[in-house]
Amino acid sequence: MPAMSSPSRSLSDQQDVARLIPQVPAPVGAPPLPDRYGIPRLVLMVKDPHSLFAYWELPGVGPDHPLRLAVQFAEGGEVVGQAVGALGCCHLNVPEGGRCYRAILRDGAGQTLLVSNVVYTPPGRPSGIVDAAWPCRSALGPWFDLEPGTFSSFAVATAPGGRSSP
Amino acid sequence: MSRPSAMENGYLAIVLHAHLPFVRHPENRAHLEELWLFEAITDTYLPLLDVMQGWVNDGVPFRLTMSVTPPLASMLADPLLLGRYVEHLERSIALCHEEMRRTRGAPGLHRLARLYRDRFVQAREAFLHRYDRDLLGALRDFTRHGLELIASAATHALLPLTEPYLAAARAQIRAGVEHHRRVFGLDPAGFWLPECAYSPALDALLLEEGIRYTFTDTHGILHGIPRPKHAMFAPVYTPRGLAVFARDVETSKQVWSATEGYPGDFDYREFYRDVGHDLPWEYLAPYLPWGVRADTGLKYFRITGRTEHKELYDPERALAKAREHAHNFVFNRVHQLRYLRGQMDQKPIVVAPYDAELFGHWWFEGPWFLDEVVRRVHEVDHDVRLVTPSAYLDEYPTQQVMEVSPSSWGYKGYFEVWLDGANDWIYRHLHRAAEVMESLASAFPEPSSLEERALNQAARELMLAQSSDWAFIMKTGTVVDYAVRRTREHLHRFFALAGQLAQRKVDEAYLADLEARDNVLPFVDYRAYREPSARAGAPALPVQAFRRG
Repeated sequence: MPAMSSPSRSLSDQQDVARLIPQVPAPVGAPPLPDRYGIPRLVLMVKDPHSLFAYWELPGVGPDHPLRLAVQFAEGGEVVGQAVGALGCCHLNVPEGGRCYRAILRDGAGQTLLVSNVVYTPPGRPSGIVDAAWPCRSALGPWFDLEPGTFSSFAVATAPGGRSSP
Repeated sequence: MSRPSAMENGYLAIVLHAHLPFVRHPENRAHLEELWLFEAITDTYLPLLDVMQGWVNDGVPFRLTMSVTPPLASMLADPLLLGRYVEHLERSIALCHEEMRRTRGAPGLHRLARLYRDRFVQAREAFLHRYDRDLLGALRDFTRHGLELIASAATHALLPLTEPYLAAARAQIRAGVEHHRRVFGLDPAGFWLPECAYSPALDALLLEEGIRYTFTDTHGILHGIPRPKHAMFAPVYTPRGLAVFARDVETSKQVWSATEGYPGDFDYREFYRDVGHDLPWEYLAPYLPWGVRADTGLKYFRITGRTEHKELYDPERALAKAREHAHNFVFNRVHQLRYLRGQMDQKPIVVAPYDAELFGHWWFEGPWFLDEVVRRVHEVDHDVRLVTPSAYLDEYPTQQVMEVSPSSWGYKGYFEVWLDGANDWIYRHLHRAAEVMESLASAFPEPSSLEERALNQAARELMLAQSSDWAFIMKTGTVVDYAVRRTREHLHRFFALAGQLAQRKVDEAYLADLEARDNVLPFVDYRAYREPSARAGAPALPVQAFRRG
C-alpha cells in the first residue's frame, strides 16, 4: 500500500464527498456513531508537553495483520512504538516538550502505510532563549517557576475536600 | 471624576467570559438543561447589568472587558427561550410565596424566602421593563461608557483540538466574529479563545478576521520563545502580529484557589444546598416542570465550614465580607503593581479573566465583590487604574515578539480535560465531519437557495457538535448522557445533511426541522470552510529564528 499523509489530503468533487459520508439513514435520536469510516487515516493530537493522542483506521486490513505504530521526531528518530490493530486509538508519552512529532503506521515488514500530520508539543518550561533586545528582569524570575494549570475551575471542582463553591 | 494617568503604578484589566452551551429544546414543553440559561440570567447577567448601571449612575469611570459567546447571545435573543424564562420567573415567585407561607413560624428562613421573592420580582421587572427582554442591547449600550465587548468562537470549540483540520478553526473564528458584528454592531478588537486554549496556528486565523488581541493562560507567555522580558505583566506579539495578554496568577489564585479563594468563605452562600433537593417532592412538583428535582435558586444556608452542618445565610454578613474581600483584592493589586512598576520600564498590566457565570451564579456575592473592586479603585486606591486591553495597546504599542506556547486555562494547563479517556472518542468523528464540511464547501461553489440553506445548517450542526462543553461534561462526569447525546445528535444531523447534499437531494422538510431546532448562528456562512487546512500543528516560525547574537 502506498504511504499517504492523510489529514492534508483534500477532496474536491462530489464523488469523493459521497464516499466520506457514513452510509446510514438520517437517524432518529442519538444512536452510536459508526466505529469506522472506511478511509485510511492517521491523526496525531497534542495533549500536553509529554503526551499525544493518536487515532487511525486502515481499511481492508484484517485483525491478524501485524501493524506497528511509531512516533518519531519530525526530523527523524523514533521515540515510541507499539503493536496495534488496523483500527484504534491510544495515548502516547513522548520524551520532550517543544518538539515536532509525527506518527507512522507500518506493516510487519516495516513498510510505511500511513503517515500522520506533524504536531508541535508545548515546551512545558520557560525558554532558555533570551532576546537581546528584550533582556529578562531577574526580579520577575520567581513567576517563571509556577506550575501550569494550578488555578483552574476543574482543579478546584475536583480537589479532595475542595470548597463548596464554585 | 477622572484623575491624571501619571498617578497609577499600573493597570488592572478585568475580563469576563460569558458563555453557556446552546441548550434550546423546542421539542419539549420544559427541558431541564434550559434551566442553565434561566439561572444564569437571574444570578449573573441581570446583576452584572445592574452593577454596570450603578457605575454609570454614580459616575464611576469603569473599564471592563467582556465576551459573550454566540450560543449564549443566540439564546438571549430567542423568543421561545425568553418566554420560557418569564414563565420560570413566575414559577419561582410562586414558590417563594409558598415558602413564605411554609416558613412563617421560622423568622430566619422566612426572611430569606422573602429576600428571594423580592429578588425574583426585581429580576422580572428588570427583564421585562427596564431591559425590554433585550439584555444584548443593554450590554451594547454600556460600550458607550466603559465596557469593551470582544468576540469568541462560534460554539466554544476548543480550537487547538480542531487541528489538523484548521478550516474548522477558521470557520469557528469567522462565524464568531461575524456574529459579534451582527449582534453588537461593532468590530471586535479582541477575541476570547474558548478555555484560553491557544496553539501557534491560531494567530493567523485571528488576524484574518481583524482581531488585534487575545488571551492565554499564564504559561502561554511564560513558556514562550524567547523568554518574556516582563513575565506576564505586559502583552507580547506573535510573529504574525497578534497581541497576546496572559492571565495573572495572583488574581487567579485569590478567586480559584481551593484553600484561599474568596468564594469559599464560610460566610458566603452555600451553592449546593437548594430547597429543590431538600423539601418533599410533592411540595415542589408544581414548581419543577421538568418532573425531576432541580435547583430552585432558593438556598438558605451559608457555607459555614467543611461540614455537613450548615447555618442560615446572613446577607448582611455576606455583603460585608464581599466588601472586605474586594478591599483585600485591591490592596493586593496596589502592592503587586507598585513592586512591578519598580521592575519594568513600562506600566505593568495585571490581567484578571474569569467566567462571568462565576459572579452571581456560583459565587452569589460575586457581583457585590466586583462592584466594590471597581468603586474602590476609582475612589480610594489611585495606584491602580482599570484598563481595557485595547487602551493598553494604544499606550504601549511596542511589545516583545515571541512564539506563544500552546496552553489552556484548564486543569494542568493544556488540553487534558478535553482529550482523555472519557472523551477522546469524539475527535475521530468531529475531524471526519470537518473534513466532509471542507469538501462540501468546495463542491458547492454556486449552490441553489435550498442547498445553501443545507450547507449552512450542516455548518451549524458541526459547530454545535464541536462545543467544548460536551467533552468537559464527559470528563467531569456530571450529565454525561446529555453531553454524549448532544455530540451524537449533531453529528448525525450533520452527516444526514451532507449525504443529502452529496446526492443533490436535500429534504426540505428535514432541513426546516433542523433550522427550527438548532437555530444558533443565524449568520453562519459555510464558505468559511472553503479554504483548505494548512500549517497544521507546526510552529509559525522555527525556534532558531529567535537565536540572535
